[in-house]
Amino acid sequence: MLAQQARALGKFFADTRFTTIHTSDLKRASGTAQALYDAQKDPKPIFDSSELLREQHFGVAEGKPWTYSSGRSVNLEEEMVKGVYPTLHGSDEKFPGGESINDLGQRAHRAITTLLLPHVWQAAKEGKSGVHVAVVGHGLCISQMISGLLKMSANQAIGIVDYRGLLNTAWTRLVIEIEVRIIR
Amino acid sequence: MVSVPANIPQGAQEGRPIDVDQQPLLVMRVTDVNRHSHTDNIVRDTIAMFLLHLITLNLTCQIRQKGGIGSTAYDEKQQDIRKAFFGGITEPLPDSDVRAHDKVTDEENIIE
Repeated sequence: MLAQQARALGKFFADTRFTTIHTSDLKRASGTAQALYDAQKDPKPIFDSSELLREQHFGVAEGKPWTYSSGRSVNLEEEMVKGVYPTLHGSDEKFPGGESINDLGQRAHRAITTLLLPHVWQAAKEGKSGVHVAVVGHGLCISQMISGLLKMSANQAIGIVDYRGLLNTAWTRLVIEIEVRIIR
Repeated sequence: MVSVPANIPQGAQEGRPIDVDQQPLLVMRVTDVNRHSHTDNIVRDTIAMFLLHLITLNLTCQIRQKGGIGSTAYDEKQQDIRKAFFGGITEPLPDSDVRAHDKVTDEENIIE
């Protein structure tokens, strides 16, 4: 079904000219990015694959069944010994070999500064507007990138809401504008 | 000519290069969130197939099980279809579970 959704996404954006498509190098995202790329008209956008856009890594818990729990009264390590991998709490908790939500936030920040902002500066130097860049990633990483971008905004009046719970192939758009202060 | 008072922000203009060495301020706006209208037709097609399946199943049940339940309410596939459409979530999840739900739904339907 995801392949159908990806093709539908590509068709939906066929008339939107992306200059670059950045994608996670994980198969489930790059397949969607490929469908987006295939539906683009010539000249085709640059296709860039990056591990910076991967989903939060859950270390030893990857591929293991989850135990949903909103409150935990037991130790995470004790749970893992029993083969139980509960949901993580807080921003620093992580499984061995994995990333915490804060770790993910830092990686998302690197993705913003190394992958996205260069497009903004390039467009600014060339005096271009209406430049579209697609980022194909995963729910948790995308939500951290959106939060990270909004924190960089000069307009802090923008209400930051929860960007988690994104559906497969669903899209979110963030517009970046450059503000020039004229001092006379 | 700039017709704005001192220190009032002015947005970038098409065709007018900006000196990025002066580290201009960025303003971010989220205009769309979690949009998925492109999948509406896929969902409708799947629902049509599912309903066809239910009708077929119901007919089969009525033939084989006279007076039996034969009810779609007991079809365990109904749970699967809810999961396919709504990620299996019908009520808000607690905060920490949202992250796990994101990860789980993200891992589903992997292109092989």
